Amino acid sequence: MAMSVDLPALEQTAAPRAAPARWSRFARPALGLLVPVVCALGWELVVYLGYSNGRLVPPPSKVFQTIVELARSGELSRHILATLWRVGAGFALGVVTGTIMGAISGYWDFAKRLLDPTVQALRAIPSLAWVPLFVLWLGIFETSKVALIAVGVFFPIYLGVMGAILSVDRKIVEVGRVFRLSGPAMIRRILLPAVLPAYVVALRVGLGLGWMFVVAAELIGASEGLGYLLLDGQQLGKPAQILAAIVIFAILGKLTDWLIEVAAAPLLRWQDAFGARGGA
Amino acid sequence: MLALKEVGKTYPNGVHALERFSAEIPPGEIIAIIGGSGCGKSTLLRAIAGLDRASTGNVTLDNAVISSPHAKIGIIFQEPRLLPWLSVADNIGFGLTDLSAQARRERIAVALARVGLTDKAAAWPRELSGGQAQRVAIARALVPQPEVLLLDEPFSALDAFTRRDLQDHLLDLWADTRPTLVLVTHDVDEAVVLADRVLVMRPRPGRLFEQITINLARPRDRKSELFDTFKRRVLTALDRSLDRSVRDVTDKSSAGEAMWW
Repeated sequence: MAMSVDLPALEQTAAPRAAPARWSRFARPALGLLVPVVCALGWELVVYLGYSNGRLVPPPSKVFQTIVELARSGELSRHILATLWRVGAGFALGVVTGTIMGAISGYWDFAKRLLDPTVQALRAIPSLAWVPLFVLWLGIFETSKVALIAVGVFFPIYLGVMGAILSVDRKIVEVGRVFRLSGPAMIRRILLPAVLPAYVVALRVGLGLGWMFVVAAELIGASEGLGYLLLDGQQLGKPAQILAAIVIFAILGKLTDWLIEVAAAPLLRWQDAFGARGGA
Repeated sequence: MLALKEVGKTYPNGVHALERFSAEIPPGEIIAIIGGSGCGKSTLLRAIAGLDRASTGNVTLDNAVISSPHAKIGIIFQEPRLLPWLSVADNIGFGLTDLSAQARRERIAVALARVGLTDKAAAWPRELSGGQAQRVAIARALVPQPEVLLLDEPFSALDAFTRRDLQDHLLDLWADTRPTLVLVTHDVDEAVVLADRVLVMRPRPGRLFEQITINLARPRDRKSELFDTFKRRVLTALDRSLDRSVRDVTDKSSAGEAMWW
């Protein structure tokens, strides 16, 4: 039997993969650091040269010194752990409920008609409006804080999962039907991989909101946590402590976001998207 | 034997897409279904595939009624419809779940070699050209060795050169196991190159209009006079199928007008 297969020249357009040069692995993140580093050094210089006393906007060295002092006394790790725990618990709760509700509403039209209007109405409420109620219901300790963070995380996850399922290409689902996939196999082999990119985005948005809400929760009433450090710095007139807390928030926020990105990257290598040019 | 018995389809929105379509297709025959737009070609194919249920009549394969997708019936769509998160090799092996990993790998390797894409086994679908992607789709449909392979305008999105290449390639692959092929197309050239029999349909509602047997030896020479003769015959049938339906419509409207007057 004739095994020869003619490949016409015009089909041999093998996509030349842009092999990233070795230096760019380091140069790319370094480029992102350029602006903040230049600003920090500039301000440091302004204060050093005496153009400003740096009392209200302390120079980076002072902020760094505050962080070091807080770390030495053991305070810092206590505050960080308290905040991380709250974000972690609230995020987990929000992700689980948001994923389940989003999946049900996306998969089952009746559930969407039943639940979605209520969820959308609840979403329209500014989440901080829940605070007094949560405090009354759940007390002023951890539970109300975790609940508030979970509420913040819930909505983007719910919307992301539901929207992703609703927008799965019917034609791809039909491929599953042609190969006679069972319900669970259809979910595992078609729906889950198809919604994964949108789900990862939803997780990242949800986590960002989680960090936002932990500050709100800790500003309201807490004796520890990075939000407490902020409030404490304001009340005692310690701008360096406020900035230190802000810097740590930034670092933790970026770090946790990066963790999601890194964890998801191997699952999303197939994506054909503008953003996939360079990779994470 | 694939048998279509008075297959009709009316969609829930009232569109009468297909009416009493009957045909018997013996194993290994290549059928081309051709017709103007809206003549129910794709509706018919989806009914054979078990993707949509016929409103009247039935489709049987070896006397078993087809009401849902069937293991012995494969389909290739107009677009490759590859799963973007699977490599080319995994796409080809998508339907081979009940084989051992080793057997599955071997079958995929053979199929990859057969469509000339061995070097693309690990590539993502997005890295393929249109023609390569459609080859993968062909391999994916053929790898479970279906008895009937349905093709819904499979090459219409490709450029003329790639299309010709894939038509020849399809015949080559068909010769391996000789499944029944039912090809929906709007390309007369394609129908005459591939088919043993061309079924010309007429629109509104879709109905079988004429059957033309293409008794030309393969491989067929697209430039031969005989080839041209068959093409002309199909074209003439197509023209007549459209003319008649046009006249039907005008007849009705003029009748309506007369009554209105």
